[in-house]
Amino acid sequence: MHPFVKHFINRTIVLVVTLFIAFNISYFLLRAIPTSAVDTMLNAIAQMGQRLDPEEFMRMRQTLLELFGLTGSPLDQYLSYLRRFFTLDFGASFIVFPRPAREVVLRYLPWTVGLLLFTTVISWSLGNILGVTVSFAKNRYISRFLENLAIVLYPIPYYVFSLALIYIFAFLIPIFTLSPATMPAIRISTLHDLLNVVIHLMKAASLPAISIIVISAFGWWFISSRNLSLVAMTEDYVIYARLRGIDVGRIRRDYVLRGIMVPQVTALALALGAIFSGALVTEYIFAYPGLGSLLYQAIIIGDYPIALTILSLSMIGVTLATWFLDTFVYYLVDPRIRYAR
Amino acid sequence: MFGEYVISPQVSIKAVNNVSIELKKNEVIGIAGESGCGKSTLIKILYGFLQPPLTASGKVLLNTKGGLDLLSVSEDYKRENIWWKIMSYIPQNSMNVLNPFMKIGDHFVELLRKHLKIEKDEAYRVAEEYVMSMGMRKDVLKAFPHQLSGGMRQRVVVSLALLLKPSIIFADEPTTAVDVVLQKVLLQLLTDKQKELGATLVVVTHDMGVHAMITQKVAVMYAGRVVEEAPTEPLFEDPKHPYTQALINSLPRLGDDRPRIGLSGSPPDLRNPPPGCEFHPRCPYAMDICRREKPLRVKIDKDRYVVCWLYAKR
Repeated sequence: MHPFVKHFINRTIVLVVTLFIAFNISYFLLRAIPTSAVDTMLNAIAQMGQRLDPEEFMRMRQTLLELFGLTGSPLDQYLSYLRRFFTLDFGASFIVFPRPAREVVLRYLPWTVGLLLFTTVISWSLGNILGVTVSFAKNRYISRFLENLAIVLYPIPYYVFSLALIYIFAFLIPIFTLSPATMPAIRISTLHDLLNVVIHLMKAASLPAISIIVISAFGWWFISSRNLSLVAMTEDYVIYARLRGIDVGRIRRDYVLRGIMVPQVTALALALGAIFSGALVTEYIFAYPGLGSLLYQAIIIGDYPIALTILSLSMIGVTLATWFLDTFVYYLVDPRIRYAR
Repeated sequence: MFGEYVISPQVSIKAVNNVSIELKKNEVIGIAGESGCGKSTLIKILYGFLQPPLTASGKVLLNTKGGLDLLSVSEDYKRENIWWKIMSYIPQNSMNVLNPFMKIGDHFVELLRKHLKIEKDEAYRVAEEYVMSMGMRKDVLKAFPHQLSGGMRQRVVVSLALLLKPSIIFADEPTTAVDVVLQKVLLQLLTDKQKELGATLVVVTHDMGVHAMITQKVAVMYAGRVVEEAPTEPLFEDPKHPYTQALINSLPRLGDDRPRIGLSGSPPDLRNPPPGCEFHPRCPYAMDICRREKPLRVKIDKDRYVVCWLYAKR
């Protein structure tokens, strides 16, 4: 069997097992909660001042139980939860009743994934390239400047930095708007529409994107890649390359950068997996619509369908992201994985 | 080539101290001594490879380049014109020095393209022919380092060192961590090619057996100084310096079942070397003067020098 096929099957088995375990944990956790979601919801409705007669109350309770798949034998419940988990169909949301939770989440999804995917990939690449370059730089002033910049930026709390950005670029120099971003349905039929959507996105997403990129590229990714490459530069195979008189550019690219890719790709996988749960602080500060603030609202209100949809989505997202990197990217990055298994 | 070295990193470890050595064409020179006596540092300086914290002073003159001083030219110049073209280097731990992310073929192609200025396909063809001439199958080029055995990887490293037909080859413990059979094969390969090229081979090893087997001249180092320099045969028959005597006496010989007398103690801390002759704390013949004054270099015979008060004429 071709080694890749074997590798692929191996990884996929791990993926399935991981998802299954995650699913079971979420299933049993929900049932271990001592309060009933349905009763909480009914109480909330009752508190809103709607008068319900007991019969109607019980009928509504029954409907809600059915809606959440809480009727029937334990096996039926388990199977229906399994179906809901993979189709992300957890019934009607509570925040925007009676819109299905999935629809609500999917409306927020592109905003979050778009922003975080873009910023994570950009800052990861930027940080890594800069880190490796700096550890090779002959010009001590430039590298020292970047190192100090990173050391200053990294410990600044993210929200302080973000607020500073808002103060400067939305208040002092009003390039961006202070008002919360609206979330128009993205429908593109003409070029004009496309242009409008792009402009809208730029206006809404630029500041949060800049804040994330600057902090994580110059902070974490830059520092970690610089440290990793300083270690890599003392590896025997890099010293040997220098002894051979290989050009510095080649050593940087094919020896050091290549060598730090394996740990950095792992870190990227974890970062990518996390994007499905949104970035609460960013969304909150920049009034940006996203999964983080949606999840926050859902938890506060007790909107189980939405919370569960996001939870399942991020579990599936994390496992799929690691599966993808494990299967394809590692396979390309490290020949030892390519052939050893 | 003549060199004189004083090395001073931050804490200033004088790993190589006032050494002068001459490398002749078509000659195998051995550098012997215990670990930590400055052997590797010496050949790094001879190679002109100075990485902080290593610094060097003195001169490394290269006759083939009209007396060019390797310690005063830029690293860029050495990269383009000296390293691998005129001198090559087989590093310590040569089993694990190949780039794990690159195929063996790319290691060859990289160097061929750089120095011969040829296209990739042509370089690959040259590499194929070359590898076969070194007694390996050309499939080796398609492998990644981890797919080869340790012995094969060392063979590749030796082949890489000889690729551009250099006039000087430095080998730093080339056969440490290799079984004796493979050791013999590798040394044979190395010396055969050295003769073929008429090159100089500088072998650094603590293994006196290797020196006896392949070198024509040996420089014995102790605490950063060359304490004895002699053609191989006379050195083994009649070692002069007490340190050389101890090294050679520790070698097992056929038909001799006297217990081997080892040398007690270890080389001195080079941050803080003992006064006088560095060897005196371990020397069985240590005299008063050894504790006070540094011994001078004494010529004993043709090409034979020893640095020891026992041989100084007073």
